[in-house]
Amino acid sequence: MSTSLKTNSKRYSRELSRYPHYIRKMFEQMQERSQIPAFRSEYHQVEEKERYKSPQQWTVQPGDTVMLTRGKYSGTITKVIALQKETNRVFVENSETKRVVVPKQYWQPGQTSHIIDYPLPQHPYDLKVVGTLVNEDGTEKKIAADKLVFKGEYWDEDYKKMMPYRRVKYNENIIIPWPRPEPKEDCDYSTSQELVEERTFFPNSIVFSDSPSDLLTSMRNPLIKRPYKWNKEYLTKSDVKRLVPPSMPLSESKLAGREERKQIRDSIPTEPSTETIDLVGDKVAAYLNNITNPHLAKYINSKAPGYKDPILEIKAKQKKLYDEKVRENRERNKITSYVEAKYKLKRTKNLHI
Amino acid sequence: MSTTKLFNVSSVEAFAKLPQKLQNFFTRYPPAPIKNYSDKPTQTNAADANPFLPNRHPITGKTHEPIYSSRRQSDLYKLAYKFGIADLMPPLANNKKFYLEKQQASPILKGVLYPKGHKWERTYADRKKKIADALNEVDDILIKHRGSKYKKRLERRKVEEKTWV
Repeated sequence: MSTSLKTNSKRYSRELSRYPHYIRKMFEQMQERSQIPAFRSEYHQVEEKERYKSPQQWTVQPGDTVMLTRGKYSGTITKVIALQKETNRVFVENSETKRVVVPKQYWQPGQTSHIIDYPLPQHPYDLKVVGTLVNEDGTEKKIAADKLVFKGEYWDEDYKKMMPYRRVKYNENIIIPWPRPEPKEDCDYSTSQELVEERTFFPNSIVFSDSPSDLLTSMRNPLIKRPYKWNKEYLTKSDVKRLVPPSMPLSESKLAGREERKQIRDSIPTEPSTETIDLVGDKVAAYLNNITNPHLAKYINSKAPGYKDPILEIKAKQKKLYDEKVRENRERNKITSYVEAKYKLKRTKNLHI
Repeated sequence: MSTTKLFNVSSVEAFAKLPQKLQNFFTRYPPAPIKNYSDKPTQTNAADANPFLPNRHPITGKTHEPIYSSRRQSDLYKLAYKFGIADLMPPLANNKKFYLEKQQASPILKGVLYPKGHKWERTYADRKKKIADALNEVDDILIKHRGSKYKKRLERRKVEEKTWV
């Protein structure tokens, strides 16, 4: 195996993410010890999963005006310069520094001494974002947001992505806008925006594809991962559903059945004919007029349509009266309690005075 | 019970006095002289299709449930019986009968006709007869075992027996 494979490829090189966390820590410590003191970082690197990604997590962006709340310079207002993604921290202007000794080979242009002050990054927790409020008379006032909330989002033309609205917590109408990022200059290889947005493909049909049928076989080797030759290819239910053209939801026979049922329903009379009334009524009248048993007569009367039970009617009337009484009493109690409360309150007030 | 008549109603009033269920039923299915109903299951679209019977659809060949379930049939029939118009109902399924007709049509059960009884009841007469027979033979047996002296004593007792007549 060549050395380039060992060092450059992900497969054959020592990939730290493949080791358990305690061994990974050991490697990181070894790496740290091998560095000269000037390049050793003050803070531990954060694991890939826990690194901040969204602006909601960072809460600040380069260019923001912030107030330091910790350390020697707490209370001073500075500006965010850059994000240090490995440690979830940000570099600010006028922050605390660390004196380091830099070998001559790593000197920056214009450096005259081995000893330099290297700025220490700050955690976003220790910063308060500063915004400006414009009063009604035109004067401006600076505020430092103690807590922030992110509600709603908008398309930011400069960041080229959806950005959340940064609001002051408990005063959500105050929005602290994101700072404008430094514009990125196009290099020689970058594609222009017009060229990217130009539309070049217009499909003729949404059912049939314009691409040739043997496109797939021409693009990939058909011998790779082909289906086993004895594999039976069944059509699944979903395949059949996809291949068969859709039909009307109601079949003809169903519609015919509906029609038939409607005819039957229409043929059934809704009002009794005079013949029926005469035929049935005569017989019932003859039967009823011969009744001498008062119990049977009572039963027959009770079965007539529109009959109301006198006992139930009396009970309903009594309940109505009772409900009315309850309502009146409740009203009266409400008034008495209101009056009592009023006078009690007055008395206590007098006592205090 | 008084013999005074409690109702005096015309035919229209009488029809209006029927329960709503019965009125609706006779509106939908007028009684026999106006419309006849078959006593056997027929086709669903037949003119004499009985709403109480399961009829067969002529095209699909499927049997449709009766338009009125057994429970509703019974309800209707019993109501009609109480208003004296039970005979105007269409024929019921399986020659179903109610009240006295049902009682008369059902055979009297063997257990009701000849109740079996307990064992002491079944053997009572035999046991009593056996005891009575044995008592009749007691004197002969005693004479056989105790001799003629006992026979004479019995005869003498019979002669000396006190009577009031």
